[in-house]
Amino acid sequence: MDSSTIKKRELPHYFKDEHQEFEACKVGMWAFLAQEILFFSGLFVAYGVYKFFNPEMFLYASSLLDWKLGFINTIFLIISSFTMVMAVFHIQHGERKKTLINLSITFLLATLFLVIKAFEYKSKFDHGYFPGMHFSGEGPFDSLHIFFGLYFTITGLHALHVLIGMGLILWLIYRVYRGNVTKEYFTPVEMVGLYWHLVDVVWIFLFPLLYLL
Amino acid sequence: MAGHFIIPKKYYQMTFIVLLILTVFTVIISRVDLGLLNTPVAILVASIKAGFVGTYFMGLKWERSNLIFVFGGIAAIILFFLFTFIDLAYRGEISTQVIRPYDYKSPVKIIENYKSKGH
Repeated sequence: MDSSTIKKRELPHYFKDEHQEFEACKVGMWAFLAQEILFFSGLFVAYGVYKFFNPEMFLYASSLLDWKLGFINTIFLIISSFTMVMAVFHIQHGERKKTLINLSITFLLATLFLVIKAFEYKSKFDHGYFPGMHFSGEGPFDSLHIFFGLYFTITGLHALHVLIGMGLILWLIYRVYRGNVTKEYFTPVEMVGLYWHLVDVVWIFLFPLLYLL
Repeated sequence: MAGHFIIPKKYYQMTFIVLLILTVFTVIISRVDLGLLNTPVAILVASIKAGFVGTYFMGLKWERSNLIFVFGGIAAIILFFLFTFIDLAYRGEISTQVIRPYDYKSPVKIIENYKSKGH
């Protein structure tokens, strides 16, 4: 692409310079991430409360989940976090092609994550573990629906975050491809990267809590 | 952006390998029966992993000012858990000590038939 055809990005008038703009964006992003931490903390507290009341049921219910699939998904998200930081690294060095490759791998891994999640959900539906009027899960505990209520709420909201992240990565791929996001202005890549790492961190906690304990 | 600090690649690679090792470790340690310690150990390992992601992937090592959000978030979570579990652990124990908490002469005169008086 001929770079001379791209209109040079203008700094918004309310910023002194590019560095200040970047720092301001970053503070805003971190404030948003703090809010995300609080958002998920409510779900973790709910998990803690019900585990406190039903320790044996939680132990039994987590054995119904396939930890191997959870493990593969964890690996996928960790690799995708790595490719995300490599995308940030390459855009900072102005290597457009490598940035695009890394962003595409991140997107692909996120897709694989959701595909595996979909298969997991499918098998839970087939067993009748989806809470609500169609719940038909049987076992030694009559409170099994509590675990699956939490499981579907927490992983569902996490999957929603993955989906939003995928949309953002697509947007980044488009903007990097167009040449709007370059070595001179890589703020969007960095910010989406921060968001993506947060999604990864949440899963890092979810994997042992839901699948292993 | 001219003069912007770029985090060296080696930190990313190191963090990536540490995360993979710790993920395998999480699975192995969960297969060992540690009794009551299983959950705290799993949370500890997950916290170490999250710490690595935050420090290197999210670059907090090089920009300490944004740590305020992280510590603020962690403090809020600790308070959230603390007060919830104080309630859960001691629920019912305090109120049983006061046998009839509401049986006292009220200094406030309660208006009877409040509604029937047309208010």
